[in-house]
Amino acid sequence: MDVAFTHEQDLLRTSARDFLDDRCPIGLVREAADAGAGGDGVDRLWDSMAQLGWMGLGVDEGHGGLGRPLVDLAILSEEMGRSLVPAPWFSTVGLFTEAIRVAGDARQRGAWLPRIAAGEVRGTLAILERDGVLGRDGVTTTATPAGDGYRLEGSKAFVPDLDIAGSVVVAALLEGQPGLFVVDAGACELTDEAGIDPTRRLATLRLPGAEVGSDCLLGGEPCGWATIERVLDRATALQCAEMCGGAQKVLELTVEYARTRQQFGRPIGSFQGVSHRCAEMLLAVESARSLSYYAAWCCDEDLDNAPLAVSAAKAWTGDTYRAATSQAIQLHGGIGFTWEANLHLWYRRALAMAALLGDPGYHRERVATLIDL
Amino acid sequence: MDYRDSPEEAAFRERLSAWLQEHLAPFKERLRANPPSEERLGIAADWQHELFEGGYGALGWPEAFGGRPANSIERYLVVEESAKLGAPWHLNMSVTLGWCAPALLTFGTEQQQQAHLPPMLSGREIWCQMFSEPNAGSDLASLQTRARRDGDNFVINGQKVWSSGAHWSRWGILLARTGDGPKYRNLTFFIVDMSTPGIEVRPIRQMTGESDFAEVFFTDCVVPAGWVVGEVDSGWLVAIATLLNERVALSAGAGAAVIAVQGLERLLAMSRRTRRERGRVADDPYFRQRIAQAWIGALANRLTAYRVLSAQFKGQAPGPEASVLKLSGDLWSQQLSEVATEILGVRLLAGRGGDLAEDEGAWAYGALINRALTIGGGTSEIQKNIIAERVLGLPKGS
Repeated sequence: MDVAFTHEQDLLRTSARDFLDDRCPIGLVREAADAGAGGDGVDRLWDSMAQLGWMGLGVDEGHGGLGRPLVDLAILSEEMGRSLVPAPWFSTVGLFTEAIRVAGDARQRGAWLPRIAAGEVRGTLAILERDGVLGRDGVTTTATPAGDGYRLEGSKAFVPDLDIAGSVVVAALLEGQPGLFVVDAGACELTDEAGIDPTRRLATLRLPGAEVGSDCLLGGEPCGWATIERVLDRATALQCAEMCGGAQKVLELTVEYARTRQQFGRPIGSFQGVSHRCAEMLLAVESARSLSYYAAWCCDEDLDNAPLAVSAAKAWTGDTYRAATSQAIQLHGGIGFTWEANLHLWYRRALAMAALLGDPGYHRERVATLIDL
Repeated sequence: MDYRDSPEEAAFRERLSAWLQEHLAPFKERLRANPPSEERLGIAADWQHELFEGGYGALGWPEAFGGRPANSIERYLVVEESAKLGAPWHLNMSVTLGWCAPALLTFGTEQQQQAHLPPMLSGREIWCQMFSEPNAGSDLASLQTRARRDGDNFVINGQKVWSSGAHWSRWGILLARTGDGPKYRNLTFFIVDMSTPGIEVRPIRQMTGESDFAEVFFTDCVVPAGWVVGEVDSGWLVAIATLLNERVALSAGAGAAVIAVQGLERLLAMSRRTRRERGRVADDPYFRQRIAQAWIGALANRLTAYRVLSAQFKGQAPGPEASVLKLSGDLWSQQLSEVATEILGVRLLAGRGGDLAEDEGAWAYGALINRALTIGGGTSEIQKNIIAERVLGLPKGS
């Protein structure tokens, strides 16, 4: 047993943090949030992240990537969660790429992965529909054979980063079986939903009979819900790490504030009403980190209990991120509730990420099922 | 990163597990009748002797005292496998081996070590800890028990409380005031022979009805100066090092994690066979959420213990995760008990041993005894103070 990070992993973390502190300051995040879809700042950030090889970190070397394990991606993801990176790294690397890798055939992987690794593709994944139900029954969009390919009919909702993605993998039913189709975002009708998190916008996607080629169906036949779950599990492990980073960051901001803000002639951090909440946040965040890296490792090893580890991590981490950001606002008092204070940006991200890809209640139920309750 | 046993660890675990299974039977037989606490302590001490003789009782301790070289993971595996197989355990064995023995190893004289470490490690000496007083609980440093120098001796007067197993221990560690002045100075750490004249031990009945802890009264009790551990007047240093000993945190955290896993298995089994007004508990969405959450908390605690172990194994300083282990272990053990209380409803009320009682009344007993977890060994509030001040760097409260 050795669950510590390697020296290389520690280096990856410190270099990522240095880079993001420099290239993704909170000012850039706020600019992106105000600008709506992306903007020049996000484009520049994306390009410099691509130059560091971050898009291809998990892509195998045969396809032009660095072939690193999901745990390494989780480290990057945690650091990006601290900085609230507004570029679509999670959507591209966590969602789109995993769909191609897990569900695509050799030809599709050969077509997409090298371009992803080179930073040429921004993609995302569209599973949910208007009712937000995550599961086999939530997919009603249909695919019917048409000419050489398929005609997609229906609509998708709560699709992250769709406004800055060029390609989107869409879940649709072909002869009653769920499959994944790669669709050019330009071929769809998009509605920006200006969701609660302006740093990772959500959009609705309408497919009014969009026609796609036969090579767009990942794996050449409907992959089934179990494969989609596998894609989602790997993405969720990265999402958990991202949430740990955000929760850790707001804890640090809160501790710093509690050390300096004076009331009754002393720092408010000397009051147990404040300090004990900070200690409880630390307990929750460290537990979240323990669960999240275990989940990523189980996915790396493709263990049978990976779904259980992922759901345990997501249930805990979703609750923790929401609670930590709520507490951070509370402990900052009035200033914490202002638009100028940055805390609401993490709070918004927490609300969005806790709910997307299955909320804590969904994942606790999945844990209950997987432990044979 | 690898959460699995290395080949060496797997081989160690296999040898250990086989040895435990071969030797445990008579001890488990003695435990079967659910004997009172004092007898369980005797069984646990005999079991420690068996472990010691078998080469597993003093892993990581110096060979001069009967120890064997071992790394932190091997030491943990003994905790984990012993708990898994239901080996005897008693709080006073943890007090002896987790608090008292490490204090002597770090701060004791050669003579003290040679006299006491071998019998402690071989289960032949049971020790208690005498720190708290009626007016010095969480604020331990304001304790008032006096130790007055008298030639080659100290004369002790005062009163201690919450000393687990003091009425069953032949030896104890004592923190007493040796001078006036700032409260953290002028404290001295002593070894005490509990059979010395001038010591009166009065067991305290706790809310479970049992008496696991006691008050200890010192009246002109004479302790040789040679039994001071560390320097005179620097007992606070020894006491804090004892309380914050990483072995303590770890065995508490890891032990709690294992106990939680065992408890969870019983909880799952109980949920599958228990019916409530809304139907089978295991089918009830509310209980499914509660049970899953308890399961996740126990997993988180175990994974955090692994992080601490891995850092120790690599010789790295413990990170912030080490400090939350006790807090999180206690929290989740209590949570488990609280979920069971909700599941059982009125059936929790059935008395121990009666035929209405679920799992021989273990859940009802757990609901009582588990309240101690967040109080003993430093309350959760004190743990949070320590985390706030030492880990997060928040200013001290006044």
